[in-house]
Amino acid sequence: MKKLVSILLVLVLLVGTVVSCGKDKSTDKSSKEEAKEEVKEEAKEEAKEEVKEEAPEEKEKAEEESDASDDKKYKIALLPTDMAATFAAWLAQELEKEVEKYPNMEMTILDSKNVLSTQLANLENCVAQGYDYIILHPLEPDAEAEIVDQYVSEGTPIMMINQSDGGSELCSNVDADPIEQGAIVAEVAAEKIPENGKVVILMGPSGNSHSIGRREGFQQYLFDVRPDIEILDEQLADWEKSKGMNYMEDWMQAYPQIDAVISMNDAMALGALEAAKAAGKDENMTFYGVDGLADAVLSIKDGGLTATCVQNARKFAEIGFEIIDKVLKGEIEFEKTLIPGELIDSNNVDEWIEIHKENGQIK
Amino acid sequence: MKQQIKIKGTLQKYSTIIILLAMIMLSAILSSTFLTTTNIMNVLKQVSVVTILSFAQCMIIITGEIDLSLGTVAGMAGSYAVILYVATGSLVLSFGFGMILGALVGLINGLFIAYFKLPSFIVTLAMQSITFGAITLYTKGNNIYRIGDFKIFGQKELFGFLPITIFFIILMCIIMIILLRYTKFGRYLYAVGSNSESAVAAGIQVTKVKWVAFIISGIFAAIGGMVLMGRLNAGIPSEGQGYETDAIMATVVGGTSFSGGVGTATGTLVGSLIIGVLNNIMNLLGVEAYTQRIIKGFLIIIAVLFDVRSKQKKSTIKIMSK
Amino acid sequence: MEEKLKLVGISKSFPGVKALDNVDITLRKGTVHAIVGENGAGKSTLMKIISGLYRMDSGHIYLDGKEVTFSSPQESSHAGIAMIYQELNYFPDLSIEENLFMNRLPSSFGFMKWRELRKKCLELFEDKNINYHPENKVKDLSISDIQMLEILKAVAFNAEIIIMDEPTSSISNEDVEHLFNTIENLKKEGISILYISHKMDEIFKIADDITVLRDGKSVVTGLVSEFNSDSIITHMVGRSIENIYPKKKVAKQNIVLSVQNLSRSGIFENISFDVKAGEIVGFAGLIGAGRTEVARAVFGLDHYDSGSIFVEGNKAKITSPSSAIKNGIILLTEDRKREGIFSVRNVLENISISSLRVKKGAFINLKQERNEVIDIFNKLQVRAPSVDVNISTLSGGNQQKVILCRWLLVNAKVMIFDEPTRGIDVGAKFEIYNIMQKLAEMNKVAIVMISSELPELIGMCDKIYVMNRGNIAGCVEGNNMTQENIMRMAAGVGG
Repeated sequence: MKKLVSILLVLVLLVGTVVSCGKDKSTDKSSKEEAKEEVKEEAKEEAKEEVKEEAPEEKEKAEEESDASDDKKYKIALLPTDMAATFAAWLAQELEKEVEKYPNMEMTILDSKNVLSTQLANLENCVAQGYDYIILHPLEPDAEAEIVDQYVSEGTPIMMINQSDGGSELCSNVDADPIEQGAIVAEVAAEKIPENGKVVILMGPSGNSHSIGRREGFQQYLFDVRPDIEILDEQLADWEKSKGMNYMEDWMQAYPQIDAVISMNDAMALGALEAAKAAGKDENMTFYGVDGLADAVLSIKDGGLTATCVQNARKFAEIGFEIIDKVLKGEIEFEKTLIPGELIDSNNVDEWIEIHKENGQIK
Repeated sequence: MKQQIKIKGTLQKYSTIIILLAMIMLSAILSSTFLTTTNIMNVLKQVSVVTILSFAQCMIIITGEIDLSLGTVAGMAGSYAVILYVATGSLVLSFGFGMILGALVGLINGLFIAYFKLPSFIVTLAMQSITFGAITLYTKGNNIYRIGDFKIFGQKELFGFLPITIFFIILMCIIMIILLRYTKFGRYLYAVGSNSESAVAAGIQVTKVKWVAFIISGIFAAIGGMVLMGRLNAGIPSEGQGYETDAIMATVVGGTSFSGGVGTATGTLVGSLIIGVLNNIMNLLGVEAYTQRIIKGFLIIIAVLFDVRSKQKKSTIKIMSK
Repeated sequence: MEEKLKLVGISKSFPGVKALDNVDITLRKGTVHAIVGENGAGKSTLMKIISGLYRMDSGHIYLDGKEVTFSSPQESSHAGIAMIYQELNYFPDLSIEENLFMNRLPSSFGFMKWRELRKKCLELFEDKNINYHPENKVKDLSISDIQMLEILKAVAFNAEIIIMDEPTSSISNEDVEHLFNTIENLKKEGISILYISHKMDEIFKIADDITVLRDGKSVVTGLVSEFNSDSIITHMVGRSIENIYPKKKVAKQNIVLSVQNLSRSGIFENISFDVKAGEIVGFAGLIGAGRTEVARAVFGLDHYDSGSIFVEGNKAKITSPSSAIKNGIILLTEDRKREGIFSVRNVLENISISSLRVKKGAFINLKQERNEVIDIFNKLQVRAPSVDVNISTLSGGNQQKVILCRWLLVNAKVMIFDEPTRGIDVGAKFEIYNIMQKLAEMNKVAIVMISSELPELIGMCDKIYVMNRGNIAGCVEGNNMTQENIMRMAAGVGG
């Protein structure tokens, strides 16, 4: 009996830890979400129609109010995915800097700690507390789209940033196109990889839309263009540097010749680079990643990483607030836009080192 | 008859080693590169961090507790050591600082688990969150790059052939073997895990023993974390996450009993190697990503099953011949 | 009377040992048939064959004259055979009703029918004239209550044969009476009982027939009235034990342990006693009188509120067993399983664990440790293949000897034995008495012995303190050490 109990405990424990430390948080929350949505669905449908009619009036009212009291500031909430994640932290920093340019706005940050239910609770609270604008860096855009639409139609404008809008029709959206990101790096790779080159591919977590999108970019602009290239193997390294390293160590044993590492993010590419360096084989290889954060930039500077594509958080912040300003002034209801990815390679790396020094990532 | 039982007994005692040898033989047949020196070194390098953490996990599980904070403590202590190294340039100082941080976390874990008698599952789960917060609070989500010579903890080769990561595995393994086999403290660990009430009645200071165990566990986690950061040539707090589950897996595959009181350092090393060899051979053979996960999961279950079954058989034979 | 269950020529071998060899037993309807034998004599194997847990190699089982074979406990249970194990199986956190009906919970489509369960349970209680609250948790009941429930369960589900495995080993004297009454009633209802026990007085009180097993063979069988306790013991051990109690007078020495005015509120009060070197001092009393609690306080396992403990004239500050051992006091705990053995570890570690505490340095000298352990292991004649086997593979008596080995290695000045012979067979008992006597005689150890078996206390002790409701009710010495005197004091009548 005791044994059975302990075995059960172990199972619970294993599952528990996997869930709590895993990077993919979607599984256990989606059901909760669904339930919530179901309940609200009907109400939403009705509300939508009503609100559409009343909306102009409200807008006017809001405008009047803001005109009446000049010192009244717009309250803006930022709900990042996870302040411990490098890009999310950078994006938050840039948004904080950007909001200072708008004296009539002030911004509060509520971290979701990579937990969807936390993010949804934060969203709900912000709406309830009457925030004037909510910037949502969504963990699961597809799952959040409906509730976002509902809140927008009830009068709180929302922007989904750095992710797709997940099908939401009413929210603003500032995103980068992952296919484009892949394509930008793929074009460089297509030039540099030698005739009949052999490559290995490192993917992000299974099912991750960015990983899949970037892979598609590489497909269209590298593999479809250069059918002579042979893909030796393709594995999931879950965005992690150490896993990228482990796979590369094994691949170098299995395959006598590897010409390039195509990675869906920089961390995994850098892990592979570390492994190749240790084996003294990095000289004749090229390494491609996506993200363009400090570690990648420094590596390009040192002659390690070959090229990466950056999602420029500063651009996100600038364009994001332009839209917010317009929405709050009542000029538009929402706007959707894509920020083009930018290539970083040895030609422009110094520029980017400066940028990252400014935003504090390189000290 | 007796001879037969004896042979069976030896077989059962070394069941995990037999699984490992079988896997190695099979791998050597399947892939010609498997048995090359470089590849074997690779396997050892790849399992180094998880093995160091597994030793700590094994010790804690022997006392009947569990440490879920190992991974994040490794991430935290490793990253802080890197930060201190970048600031001071002293390897000794930063390594020592990392170990002190680990010990400190262990001290706090032990305070709540051994002294206040809270369940270790809960305390260390909470500590996961606390330690990760404690490092990201400082780094603000950024990673630490250009860590200079700190990378020797993960990348140097000693005496021109021995990767330092492997040296750490050997060193930590020896320390753990001595601790578990040759010290009074080790004996108390087993006693406490086997039956803590009996341990009290036998005159063992259970609180003290558990507390010290958690401090040692914290230090091991910190060392593992510093090796990890050295290997990654960067300070990346989040890389530590998840290692605690791998450590539990290696420990259990290595024959450590979840009900406490049973387990060895060598068994844990073997458990860790089984998982390492499995990952390696699947990559060498180019097994497709999703299939890898399925095979890995099943093989781990089979390894544990084999181990548990052989142990069950052993005990029934003894009971019957009473 | 008709034959309810008949076993003929039952044999069963395990690798390396013949557990049962041609055993014959006949259980008559409405009677109690006692099965006695030392541990390892094959009693439990026999029970497991009857209940369908093991398959016999050869032999026949007849139930009501028809031959039957049981391949699982479910089958034997359906045939009306119920087992009451020595170690009761129950779910402490579930209610009485849930425990009672665990295998037959009323439900429809997988959903519990709570109201029906309650109704069934109350009907059963009414029928058997018992006062329990069906919703109470089982963990709040005493062991004897739980045992009662087990029996009730057996009866409720139409058992015609009940097998009881040492049912009195963990219940108080009072509850034993209650149990015997229940057994009498069962007999009247025509239920047959196979009763496994070591205790002679019980057998003579309730059994009709008896079979003695030794080394897997049925040595002798017959009506209980044809035997006396000496003859049964002789059959069990295969040799005659003349003097069970080896007690010899030891010349009185200086006082080693002196306990003064020890109190713990609500548990015991003003306990004062002295034990001299080479003396064995007994503690008698009913269960719950506070004997064990005093011993635990002296050993530091439980705390005490006031009073002092002196060892060889020096005041000892005892806050934990660890400090008690350093002061030269050890306690052989009453519950061997819970507070004695380390079940997953080997004999060697089980023996040496406490002696490590009194040794200096952080490291263990493995060779020296092994030598010391094997020395004491041989001296006490522990019956185990080697010191490297798991302790859980040993019989109760040998486990007890292992714990004794542990404490002998500590070289204590004061040894407290709490129920040292509980649940172990006659042969091992005799050896433990001998060890105690030698300790007193040769090593001049001051010994405190707590026991519920008065004959052994009277046989072994120089004097006996009798406790009643947390107080020392009196002390008897020499010729005053009679069962009547002690019982009177223990019950609080006169003194």
